[in-house]
Amino acid sequence: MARLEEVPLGERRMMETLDCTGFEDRRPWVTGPALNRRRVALVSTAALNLRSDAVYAREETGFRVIPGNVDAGDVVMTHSSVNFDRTGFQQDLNVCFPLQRLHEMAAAGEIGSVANFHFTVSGGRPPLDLEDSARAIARTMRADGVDTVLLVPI
Amino acid sequence: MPFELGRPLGVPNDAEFQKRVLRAAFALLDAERGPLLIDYAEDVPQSSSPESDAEAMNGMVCAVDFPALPDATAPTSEIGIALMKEIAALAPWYAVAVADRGRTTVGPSGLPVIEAGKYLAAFLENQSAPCPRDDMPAASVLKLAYEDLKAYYTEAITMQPGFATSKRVEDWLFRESVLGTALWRLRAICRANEDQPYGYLGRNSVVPDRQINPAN
Repeated sequence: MARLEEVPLGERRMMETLDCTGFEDRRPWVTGPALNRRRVALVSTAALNLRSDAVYAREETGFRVIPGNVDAGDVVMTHSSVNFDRTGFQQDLNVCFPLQRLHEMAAAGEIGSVANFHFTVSGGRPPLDLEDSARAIARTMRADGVDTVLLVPI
Repeated sequence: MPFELGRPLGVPNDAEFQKRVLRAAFALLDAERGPLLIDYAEDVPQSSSPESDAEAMNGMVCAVDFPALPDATAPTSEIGIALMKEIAALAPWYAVAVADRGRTTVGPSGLPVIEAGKYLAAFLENQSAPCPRDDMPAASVLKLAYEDLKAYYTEAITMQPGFATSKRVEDWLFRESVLGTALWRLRAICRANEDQPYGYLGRNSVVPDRQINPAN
């Protein structure tokens, strides 16, 4: 996550006032296997979607699926915000969606494996608005054997 | 992270840098308790400063300047004509970018870039201009069209020397290019339109905040 002082004023105010209550009784701390036995999936808030999939609508709370073997040329970004850099993404998908890096780390034995499916949402919505999407994503991840999720905010 | 918004892994096309970020994130899994808020110490390499970018651009122009194409549907407004010429002039750089990167991020509008430019130019003259797609709201098509134009421009310009930083690219787009002029004009038109969703576009989704309020 970028440092708050680097965030444009409008986004900064939104983040500072974002309602993040409702998670007080959750148990966020869990343990897992060693890193070289973990199966890793990505979740990005960059509103990435496949060219063949629907673009993100403004204020949408749905999600999109990015296959683990996707060709980077098939991934586009349809986030509504104009207040973050896209030139890095244009030059290298991995700068915001490090799928190729995960495959390299799996090949090197640093992580166990890479999930078959990865997911994106469009950031900027109150977290609880995304609950249905989060639960649907989690169900698929469980079926895919995923035990580690890398949350990559844009 | 000390990285700018939009680059959570820090540096494009630097696999080792990106892996160091990932390893630092995975290392958090070894913590015995949390939550944790850990500052990542490594900053991105300073490959270029805005000043050196500007110096590098001295005397440089786009390699090709196409004449206006004989096109019956071409814009007739001054800004529309200039936009078509600018799009054509960037074409060879865009081709180089696609060849170099093996991909493009242009395309979500479903319109060829030249048609996206025509729609933007037409909208600037007449907000009731026919929308080139009928399967989604016109404002959504407009947004996707100008985002495709921005992607086309920025993919092309980042192949040229002197555009190493995203701020330099953004400044060029919004302060030096015809498209930037068109987008500032679009912002004003949309802001004057109180109807959703054009009003939203004008207030939030055409020109970046740091171009509107550089001090922030």
